[in-house]
Amino acid sequence: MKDIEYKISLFIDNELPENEQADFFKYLSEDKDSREMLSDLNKMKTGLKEHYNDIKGDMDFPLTLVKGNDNEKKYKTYFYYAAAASLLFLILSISLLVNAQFYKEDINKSKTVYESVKNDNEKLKNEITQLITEKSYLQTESHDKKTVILKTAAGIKITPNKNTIKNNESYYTFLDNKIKNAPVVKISKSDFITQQMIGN
Amino acid sequence: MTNEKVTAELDYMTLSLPDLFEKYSLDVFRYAKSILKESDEAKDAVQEVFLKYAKNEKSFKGNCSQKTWLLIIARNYCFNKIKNNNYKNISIDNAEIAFYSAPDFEMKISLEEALKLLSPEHNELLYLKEYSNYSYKEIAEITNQTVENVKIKLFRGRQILRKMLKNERGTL
Repeated sequence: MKDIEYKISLFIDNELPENEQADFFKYLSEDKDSREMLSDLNKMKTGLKEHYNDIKGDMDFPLTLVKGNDNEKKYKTYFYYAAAASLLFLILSISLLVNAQFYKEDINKSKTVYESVKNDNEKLKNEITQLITEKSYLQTESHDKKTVILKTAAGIKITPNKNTIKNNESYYTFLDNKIKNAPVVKISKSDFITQQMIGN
Repeated sequence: MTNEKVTAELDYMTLSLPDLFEKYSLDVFRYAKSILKESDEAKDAVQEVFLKYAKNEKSFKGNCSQKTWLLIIARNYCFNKIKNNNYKNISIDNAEIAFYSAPDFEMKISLEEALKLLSPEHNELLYLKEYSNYSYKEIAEITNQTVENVKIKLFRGRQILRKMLKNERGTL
């Protein structure tokens, strides 16, 4: 029979047309080689099936796709963590900014206070200088002048009082005491601000 | 496809991707291995196939079963890989040489070895027919060729394989 091998192939796949099957079986019964081929192909069929079935046994099947889903979940979780951290950072930043504004106001206040104290201190120093000068003047011979204008290192004008000049002895004592007890405070700008900051 | 088979396939139409993966990943793996012949390559193929499926799930029209669609994706992936890498193309020649030149007394080789020598085209047809038990029409649909081609190629594949598997006594 022509194409018997091809027909055997169709037959084992159940695809041999019915109208050819009678002739096929007849030929098969008469031809040993064809029967042998049919037997071989059936064995191969079984062998192949077993072979493909065995593939399952020797492989550790990867579930990367599921892992991929896990990764996706993991990335989502990371994203939420990152978003939460960003939000926290933003709140913290705003809080610090607001606090900084308050601190700025405090610093400005401190500066004003410092400047005021500094001015008072300067005034006091000038007053002391004036008193020292006045005392020096009264102790000099030229104290009998009616009006003397002295220029101190600070450039302050001093006009000694006539009456006080006359009662000079008691006035000297008064001046000495005043100079001695003058509340001179030395304070630096940075110390002052730092103390204010710590105080706040 | 028989009615039973169609019903069975339709049942899985509603399967979620993880379930689908569990159900068909091994079949896809075996199919990919029949073409690529290497387990590692086949494992990569499975991952790629299901990822592609997941990406294009919405474009699935239901013209064929999900399994068929998966196998078509797998086939495209595997043959693209072969084409890009010139992967194992020597096996076709080896199989042909073995078929035409091997004398009957040649030492018997195992089925696995013989399948490695067989071309990817013959391998995939044997897998689809012998293991998955698809009809010629279904195989033609998956492999995008005519039914006549499928018949002839399957016959040729079997012929080559039988020749390679014959021992010195001429028996399998």
